[in-house]
Parts: sequence; C-alpha cells; structure tokens
Amino acid sequence: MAQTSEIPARTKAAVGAPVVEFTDVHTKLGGRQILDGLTFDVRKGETFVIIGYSGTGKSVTLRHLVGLMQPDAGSIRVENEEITTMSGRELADMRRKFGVLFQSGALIAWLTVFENVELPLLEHSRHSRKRRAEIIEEKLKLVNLWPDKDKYPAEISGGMKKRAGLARAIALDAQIVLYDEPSSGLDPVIANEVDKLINSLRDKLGVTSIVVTHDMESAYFIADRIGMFYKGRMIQIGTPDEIRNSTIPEVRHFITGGKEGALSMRSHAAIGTGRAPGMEHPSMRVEPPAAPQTSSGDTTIMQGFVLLDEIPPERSRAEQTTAHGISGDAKVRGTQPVEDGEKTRLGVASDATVRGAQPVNARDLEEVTPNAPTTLSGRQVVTEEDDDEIVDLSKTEEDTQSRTASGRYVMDEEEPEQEDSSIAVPADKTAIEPLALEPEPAPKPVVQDLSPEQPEELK
Amino acid sequence: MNASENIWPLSFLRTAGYTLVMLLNALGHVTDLYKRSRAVFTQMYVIGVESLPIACFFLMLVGMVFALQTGIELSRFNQTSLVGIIIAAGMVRELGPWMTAFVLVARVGGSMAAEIGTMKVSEEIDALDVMSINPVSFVVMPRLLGYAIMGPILTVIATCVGIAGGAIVARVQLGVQFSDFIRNARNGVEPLDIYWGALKSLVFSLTAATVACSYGMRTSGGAVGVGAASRNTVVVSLTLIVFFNYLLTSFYRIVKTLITGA
Ligand SMILES: Nc1ncnc2c1ncn2[C@@H]1O[C@H](COP(=O)(O)OP(=O)(O)O)[C@@H](O)[C@H]1O
Ligand SMILES: [Mg+2]
Repeated sequence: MAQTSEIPARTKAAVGAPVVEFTDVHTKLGGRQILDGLTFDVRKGETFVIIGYSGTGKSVTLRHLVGLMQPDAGSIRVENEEITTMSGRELADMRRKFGVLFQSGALIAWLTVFENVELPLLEHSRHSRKRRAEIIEEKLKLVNLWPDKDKYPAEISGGMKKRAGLARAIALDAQIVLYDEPSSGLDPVIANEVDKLINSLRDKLGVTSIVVTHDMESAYFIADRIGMFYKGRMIQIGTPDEIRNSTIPEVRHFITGGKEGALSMRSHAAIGTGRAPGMEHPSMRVEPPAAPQTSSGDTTIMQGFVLLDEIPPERSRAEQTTAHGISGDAKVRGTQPVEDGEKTRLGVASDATVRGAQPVNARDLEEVTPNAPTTLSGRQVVTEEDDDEIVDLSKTEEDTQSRTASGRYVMDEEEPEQEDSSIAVPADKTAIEPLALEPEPAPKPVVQDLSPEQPEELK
Repeated sequence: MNASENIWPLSFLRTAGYTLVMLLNALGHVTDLYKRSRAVFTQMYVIGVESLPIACFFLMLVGMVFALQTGIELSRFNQTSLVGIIIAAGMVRELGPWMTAFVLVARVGGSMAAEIGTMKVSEEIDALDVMSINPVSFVVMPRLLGYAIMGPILTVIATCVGIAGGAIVARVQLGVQFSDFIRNARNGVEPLDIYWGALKSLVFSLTAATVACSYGMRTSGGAVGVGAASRNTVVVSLTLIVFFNYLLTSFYRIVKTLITGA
C-alpha cells in the first residue's frame, strides 16, 4: 500500500500544520461499520480531495468533521482541538471556522437566494445592510447567480441550488471549506468554474478545502492530495500523480471508472457487511457460488440481476457491459437505471463474468419477482417469464423517473455482443472519459483568475 | 435501528424527553426575538390570519347546532329562553377553545411538522447547525410563539362568532329574542370563564406547536418520514388536547368552588 502524505511542491509554501486530523475513527450506523479506522489529516492551505464509491461514508466523514455526528471511537481534531468531546457552545464556535457546501445545497426554502447568502452575515457579522449587499453581490456573481438572486429555492435547478449553497458557504470567508460533491449536477462549464473557484480561494486566501467528488478530472485539477476512501478508511493518500499511477486495484478500478483494476463482486459487496447479502435471493443464482474465478481473484460468475456502480445510466448497454468486463458470450437482457442514477440494474440472463458488480441489496430485491432459474445444462433458455420479469422490473415505481429518461435496452439472443464505438455519448460525459483511457491526460489550463477584485473584497 | 428503540416505554420516554427539552430550549430562545421578528410575524399570519375564516365557519356551525340541541331539550321544560346561558357558558369554557384548537391542528399542525420534517431530511437543519445558527431559535421558536399568540386570539374571535351563530338559531328557529339571549348569555359567563377559556387555548396552542416541531425535528427517512411526522403530529396533538382539556376543566371546577365557597 503506497501510503504517502508528502506535500506537492507547488503548494509547499502555503501548506503548514495539520488543521484537520482524523485518527482511527470508528462509527457504526444502522448496524454497518461506516467508518472503520479512518485516519488522515489535512494541512493548512491545501485542497484535500476525498474520492470513493457512493454510499460508503464520505458525507458521513464530513458530518463528523463539523460535529453533526459523533464517532463511536477515535479522535477528530480541528486546529489541535479535540471536537468529539466539545459542548454545544464550543461546537458552535468551532463551526464558525467552516463553510460547508451540502450535497443538495440545503438552502432554506422560505428565503430567496439573496437572503440565503445573507443568513450567515446577518447572524455572525456586524456589517451594515449596504456592506452585506456588496458581499452578497460579489459572492453571487462569483457563482453566476446574481440574476437569480430573488428566486426561491423551489424555482431554481439543482445545480443553481448548489451554487447558491456555495456562495453561502463562503459568505463569511471561512478558513476551512467543505464541499460535498460540488460539481455533480452542474454542467461542465459551471463545474469547471467551481473548480477554479476552489483553486483561487486556496491560492489567494489560503483557504483549506476538503472536497468530496466523483469527478476524477476535477479531483486531479484541484487536489494537492487525494485520499481514496474505501471500506471505512483511506486505502491510499497521495498526490494526484501518485493516485493516477496507483497500483492498488481498488483505486485503479475507481479512477478508471471500472475499466481497470477489477474489483471482485465479493469484495465490493463486503463493504460494511463482509458478505454479499443478495446472494441468497432466488432470482440471483450464483454458479459456482461467488467463487473468485481468476488467479487475481477478482471476477465472479453469476446470474441474475446485479447493480453496476458508477456508470451513468444514459450510456449505452454496450458501454455498460464492456466497462464492467462482462464477457462477450454473456447475454445481457436489459439494463436499467436505479433511482439514484448512480447505479444501473443489469439483468444477466446467463452466467457472466461481471466485474465491479454489486449484488442487489435487499430493498432492490424486494421489487424483483423471483423466478425459477432457467439454465439448462449451462445453456440459457429464454422464457416468457424471463421477459416478464424484466418488464416487471421496469415498472417498479421508484425506477420510473430515471428509466423514462434513458430508456431500457433489451438485447435479442441472436444479436451478437458488440462494442459499438459509434454509440452516441452525451457531450458532457465525454469530458470524463479520456481520463480513464489515457494514463497521462492533458493538463488543464493554468488556474484562471476568476474574479480580479476578489482579494480585497474577500478580505 | 437496534432493538431497544422498539421498546415503547423507552421510545416514549425518549420522545417526551426530547420534546420537553426542545420546548424549554425554544422558550429560552424567545430572547432572540429581535432578530426573528419577521419570522414570528410570518407565522402569526399563516397560523392566525389565514386560519380565521375556516375557524369562524366551524365555530359558527358548532354554535348553531349546539343551540338547536339545547333548544330541543329546554323546550320540554318551557325554558327555551335560557338557551343563551348554556350556549355562552359551553362555548366559552369548552367548545370554543378545543374546537378552535382542532381546526388549527388540522390546518396548521400537520403541515408545520411536514415543513420542518422536509427541512430536516433535505439537510437544511444541518446547514443551520453548521452555520452556528441554532435551529431551535431559527425554526422552532417563531412557530411556537406565533402559534401561542394567535391560538388564543383566534379562539376569542371564533368563540364570539360561535355564540353569534347560536343567537341566530335561537332567534330564527327557537323564537328567542336577541335581547333575551344576550342577557342570559351575560349571566352565563363570568370573567373567570373567559380567563379559563383563554388559558385552555394557550395550553392547546403550545401543545400543538410543540408536538409539531418535535416530530418535525426528529424526522428521518425521506418523504415517508415526513408523512409519518405529519400524521403523528395530528394524532398526538389531538389526543393531548382532549386530555389536557379534561385536566383543565377539573381544575376549573376546583378553582370555581374555592372562589364561590370563600
Ligand atoms: N444517520 C444515519 N443513520 C444510519 N445510516 C446512515 C446515516 N447516515 C448515513 N448512513 C448510511 O451510511 C452510508 C454512507 O452514507 P454517505 O456518507 O452519505 O455516503 P457517500 O459516501 O455517498 O457520501 C450509507 O449507506 C447511509 O445509508
Ligand atoms: Mg455523499
């Protein structure tokens, strides 16, 4: 495990003592060990990016940092003060050091965009009304929301909410800013602007940032160090280059979007539970049972329905299957986005080698009508029931929204499995793609000054 | 999640404890009024002004039915003209306070819990916490205060409308002159009755607002959780209101005998 915490040269001058230190933090939530020996530190003035699969505990980590959740064991220090034992008043003081951008924006529904940004200023500053208006205008222009300042949260899009949340997070010029998936839900141009903003806050004001993201291009662009969160701890912490060239299979799997560094279904499912919970379900047959099939121990033969992680559902079936290394002779019956849009439910009609698959969890399985396995001496017989099952699946209420957005792919038995390079990929998705294929992506342009007047205004 | 949470005495104690602490906390934050005045006025408008028509309509019909029923019984003893005493006393001491409270719970309580619950599940409450803005001061206190101020005012107005409804029925259907009705009504109501009705209304309002905020603040589990918070608020508020009403009426009787006996 190539653990390193060396500070990259470009920010060495700006980086000082640790401002945030997690030491051996353990937390169990809902019976699952979400944080399991989490240890990392963030130095003054650096941008620390946390990457990792969704639903594994990255947001939970940030919530611990601002005292919204308490660990079962371990120590969390902010500027050398232990926060796990703080009283309510001490916590309130400690939190003023933080600006937090929540994953959903978390705007107060009955206040306009303008009033939301004004909120921390009203509560914690003694600025005049005029000065407040100036600060708000500056922050809202920074995130391109000034024209929408009088709208209510219900009247703006998810991305706009997030930008408004960002403006609010930096309204008081916090020294430490936490960003929970700042660029998800934003178009590439705005996402890039947010990245530049994070960089300019660091370079001009020495702000320490902790960013949770799925977007590797963004991570490489903004990070001084990247930590890969996996199974409740950091399995690698390193500079963007070290992460890019990581040899740890789980890290490779994540940063290449599943194309490399295969992750066994068993190991993936083992997050939190130590076993694959969906295995016993009659609609998911595993033959032979979840045994590693290759010498590297990272593929699994299985049949039934699996959830594929991290593949945008709007990609084509061919991409879905090749990305997960499903062997060519596997018959893919249909893919379906699951409601959160981050996973795709994939019906595998015959035994298939599935890489990076996640067994369906109990809740998803409840929606699947169990049917008898239809394998006859290793050969797949497609029955009416099979079709019905897939149709049934597509009718589950929770899926309706995302399914109608992306359609469903069903492949005929006769049609050969093929990777069609001409398949149209939405423009905003291609932006992420090259990273996964090229070991050395073209560096992004030098940090642009987002707002020339910023230093004086922010001070 | 774990088993102990499902044992009802424990969860009941936890709920009651949380709710009491939240109530005291909110009362302590009344000192933040100077910066929450706008929110308090908004709540007063939503709770009081917007509920006024429906509360008056309800109480008027209650007064009318009440007058009819008592009229039927009183006519057996040829005492129909006494209907004013019974209507006024009954409306001021009982029906006015708790029928208004019921209307308010239906119109405001459930939606208040849903609103706060939505804030909880969409991380807005957390956002307030990390901005070091006390959610009890920002969210709970204005609602509690708005409810506690407007509940009694609404009760007074709606009760008057209810008595007026009774007077109209007495005049039109029972043939009792307005002057007789009013004279009897005055005899039926003492100052203590009015204070007690207002006290009841204040207790009911605080109860409903506290229950709504408590369920709202403890919401978890997305839209389903918000629905449950709203439903529990209505059920628990109404139950507590009829229970407290019984206690307060019992007290009233004791106080009244003390005063008249002394
Ligand atoms: N308050 C909570 N109670 C129980 N489980 C929780 C709670 N908060 C989060 N979890 C669980 O912890 C896991 C990690 O959640 P989260 O940190 O939001 O994931 P992500 O890495 O995508 O940000 C999820 O499985 C979630 O269901
Ligand atoms: Mg998250």
